[in-house]
Amino acid sequence: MFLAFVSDNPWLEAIARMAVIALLVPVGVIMLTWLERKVIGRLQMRLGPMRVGPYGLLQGFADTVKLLTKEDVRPHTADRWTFELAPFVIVVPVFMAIVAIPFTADLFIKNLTLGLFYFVAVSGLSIVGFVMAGWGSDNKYALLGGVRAAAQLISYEIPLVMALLAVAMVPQSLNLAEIVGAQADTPYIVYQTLAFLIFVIAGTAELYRPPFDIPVAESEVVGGPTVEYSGIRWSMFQLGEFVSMVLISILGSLLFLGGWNWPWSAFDESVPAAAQIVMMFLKTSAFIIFFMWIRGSLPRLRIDQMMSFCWQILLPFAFLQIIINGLVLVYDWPNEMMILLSGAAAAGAVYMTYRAARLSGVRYQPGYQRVGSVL
Amino acid sequence: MLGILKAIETTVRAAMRRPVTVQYPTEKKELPHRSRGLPVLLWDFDINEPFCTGCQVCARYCPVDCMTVTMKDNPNFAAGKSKRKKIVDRFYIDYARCMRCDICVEVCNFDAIVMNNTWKGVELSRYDRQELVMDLPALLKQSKSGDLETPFREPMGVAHSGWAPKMDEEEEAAAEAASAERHHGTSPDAPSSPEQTADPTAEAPAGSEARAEQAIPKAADGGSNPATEGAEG
Repeated sequence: MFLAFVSDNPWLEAIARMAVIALLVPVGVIMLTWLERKVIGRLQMRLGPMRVGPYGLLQGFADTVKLLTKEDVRPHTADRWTFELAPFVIVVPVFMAIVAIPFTADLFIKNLTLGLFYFVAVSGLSIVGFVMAGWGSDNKYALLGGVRAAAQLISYEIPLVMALLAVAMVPQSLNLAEIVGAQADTPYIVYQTLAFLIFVIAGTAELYRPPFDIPVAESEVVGGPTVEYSGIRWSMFQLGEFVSMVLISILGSLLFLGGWNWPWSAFDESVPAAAQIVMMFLKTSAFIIFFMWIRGSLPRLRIDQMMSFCWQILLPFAFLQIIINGLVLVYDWPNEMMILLSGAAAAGAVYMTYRAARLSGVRYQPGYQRVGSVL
Repeated sequence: MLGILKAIETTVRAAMRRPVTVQYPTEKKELPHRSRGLPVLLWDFDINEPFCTGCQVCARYCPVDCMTVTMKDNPNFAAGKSKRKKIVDRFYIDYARCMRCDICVEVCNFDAIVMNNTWKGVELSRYDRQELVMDLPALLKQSKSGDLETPFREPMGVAHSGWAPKMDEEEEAAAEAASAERHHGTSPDAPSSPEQTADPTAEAPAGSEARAEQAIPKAADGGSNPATEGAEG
């Protein structure tokens, strides 16, 4: 009866759905911090947390309690409102982006027609939070980190959005549920190999996770914008970071891995909702583990490498993917053509990066006058 | 570029291996036999009294002055049970001050003090550093309860070579065998039997070989040993 009353009133219903999200997501993030420490530990032949609870499962909760009870310090010279509002400016857009995410064919907060567009628009807002944190802290490292964050996030936003746009061209829809529905027989990672590569790389950079953790590099800018934060405000930065990672992972599994579709759902439409959730969970987990694995493996890029890689390789190839899609769709070429062209372009992008990395140590040779360029 | 793939492969290989972590308080590595924990006194089970006679040589040689020793007349000697005329009365070691230099063990004439080679010799956290001043019962407790199973003591002659009267090789071997029997409960008839020395698992023969090598230069001061000459030249 209460449920019926809630679902009748659109305002109450919205509040109820947001409350569920706001309660579930932090718990998920707490478990993710545990998982991340475990995975990184195993990659380094350690065990990771083992003491708090069985296999250290409650470590994240202990850390949360510690963070929540710590003193919330604000530097005396900080710009008060900018400093105190910055964590909210980071966290709120991330939570807003959850609204557009479908978890199964029927389970979502709101099925937006322009879901992908909304997601990109909203998640791009958190850059402002980083600049605010960097400026408001009155700390030169925070400011440097904030400026780096702005430069990196804005740069990588472009190839990321272009890759997403290329994917959206194929089903000719920006509705995430429709995009997933169009992948019932073949996931788009096959058709859009190049877009997938660009998405993964630019997505890692958007999350400023290693090897793209230049804005928050401990050894260079001692944590960047977060350097002056402590206690609950610092944990809000962490919350925002982990939720964005989950969101990018979910988006990747929706757009490229076929979302909740099981391999045989092309023949049988009636996959139960529980199985759909399991499939989403598996695909998202694969992305998350991949991000953690990369974090444990690769060293940080230099800032000029990061920028030139984005502008000279990712961006042109993202446009190339859009052009390929346009040609195939306009002239009604067969799908195999799209696979072939996109795969060839992906191979080309990999070769260009390889060549640039190989030549990066070679200087002042007659044939290669453009020193400082990766091309 | 290819390094990226190499890095990823390396981490996967590492993840496949067993973690090297030892979960310390619940799971402990075996300490080496020569592990040097804080010093404790040994209990003479034959007579049921400490080996220590309270001669204070350890207290005098202690570089950080962490020991206080007094002696008394031995009641067991009066009763005819013991050869020790004097026995330790009170013995204090300030573990907070001890630097585990092993000098007390080297100078002890009665093999009465050893560096504790068990985990109890290092797990000594206390809330008050006064509690780290150990008295005689505390120092004897571990040996007396049989918890200190194989204390490590330098074989006779090595540590003492600076000032102790020198033994010739045969005497030394005999002393070594006797010492090994006393401390390890085995009785290797050390360098005489070739089968025993060929066996690498036997602890005492391996030790006696090392001892024999060290003893040779002393015995061969005249320069009759070609190996030593070659090493010196």
